[in-house]
Amino acid sequence: MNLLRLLLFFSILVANSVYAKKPVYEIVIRDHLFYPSEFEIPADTKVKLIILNEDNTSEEFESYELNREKIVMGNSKAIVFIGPLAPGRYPFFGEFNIKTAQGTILVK
Amino acid sequence: MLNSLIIILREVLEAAIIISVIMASLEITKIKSSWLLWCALVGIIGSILMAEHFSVISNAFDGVGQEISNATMLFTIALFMIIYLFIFMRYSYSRFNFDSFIRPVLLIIISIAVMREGVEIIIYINGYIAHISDSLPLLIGGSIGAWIGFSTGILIYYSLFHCALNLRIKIIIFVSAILCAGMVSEGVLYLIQADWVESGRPLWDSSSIISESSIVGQLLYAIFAYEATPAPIQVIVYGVTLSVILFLFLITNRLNNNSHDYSNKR
Repeated sequence: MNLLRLLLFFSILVANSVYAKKPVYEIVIRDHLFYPSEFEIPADTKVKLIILNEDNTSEEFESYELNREKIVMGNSKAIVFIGPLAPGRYPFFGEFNIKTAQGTILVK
Repeated sequence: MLNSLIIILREVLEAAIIISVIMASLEITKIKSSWLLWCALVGIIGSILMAEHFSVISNAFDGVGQEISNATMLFTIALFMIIYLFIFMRYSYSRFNFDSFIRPVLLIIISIAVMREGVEIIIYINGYIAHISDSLPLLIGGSIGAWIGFSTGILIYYSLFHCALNLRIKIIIFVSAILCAGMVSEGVLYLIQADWVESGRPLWDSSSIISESSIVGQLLYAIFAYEATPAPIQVIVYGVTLSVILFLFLITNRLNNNSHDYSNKR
């Protein structure tokens, strides 16, 4: 009986860590710019980034520091998971508009 | 203009390296290089279809369909390249007739490699360049990028072609091995991005020595799938893939030493 309780306890623990709600952050692409272009996320935490592209043109969200690369079609959204990360500055950019589409994620 | 040059070059280069290495191996496996053209054509058609349904693909699997399809394509190319390598190493020494297998295996490798890069190019041109008013410089830049990519492939092919056969075989096996390891590692990175695999802390940070955005970093990325901050699991699968190919190489060497050379009997 005790073993059963222990098993139940651990399965809940595991389920919790797997399905725990990750913090969600939203960035908008408008006129080839990121809004916000700089924002903070907590260190050592996995977060869900929702990228809303309000332009008619597609964009590629990319970051060498975050090791991320994802195409966001025009007028649609994309989801990217990032972290857990060490504190620091993590620049990202839109590959199709590298001159204007620049941003930074501050991990604190 | 420079930006579009780099974008197209990066995409074309990846497929061009794979195709040129395989082209250099065809002398052994006795396949006409025109077969590769058909494979590439299938890949181009595939990329047009895939680009057309890209939104559907992206939204699949709770919004991580892009990552899953990319990872699947990378794993498939790597798996079939390992199969091809085995056939390539055994071809001249085995009594078994591989001929009916080689064409489909090459079709899978080449068409998917072309499709993967083709989709991004089509989306860049269709979904971006076609929408902006002054697109001519971008198209010129893109064409130059494509041209540099193709030329690099041709250069690799001819440099390999002029090597002595024994050396050429060794280079083909070595380059294929690092390409496969790189693709598996990149595929795992997509699974991390999709949150299907845990990333953990990066194993090292070499960004201050060689930045991924530098030209050297980009070159190392194209050849060795260089990452300045790789996840431990990426490094592990890289090593495992290399070990599998090394193991295969040692086994076939042993088998080949115990069998006759059948290459002239076909």
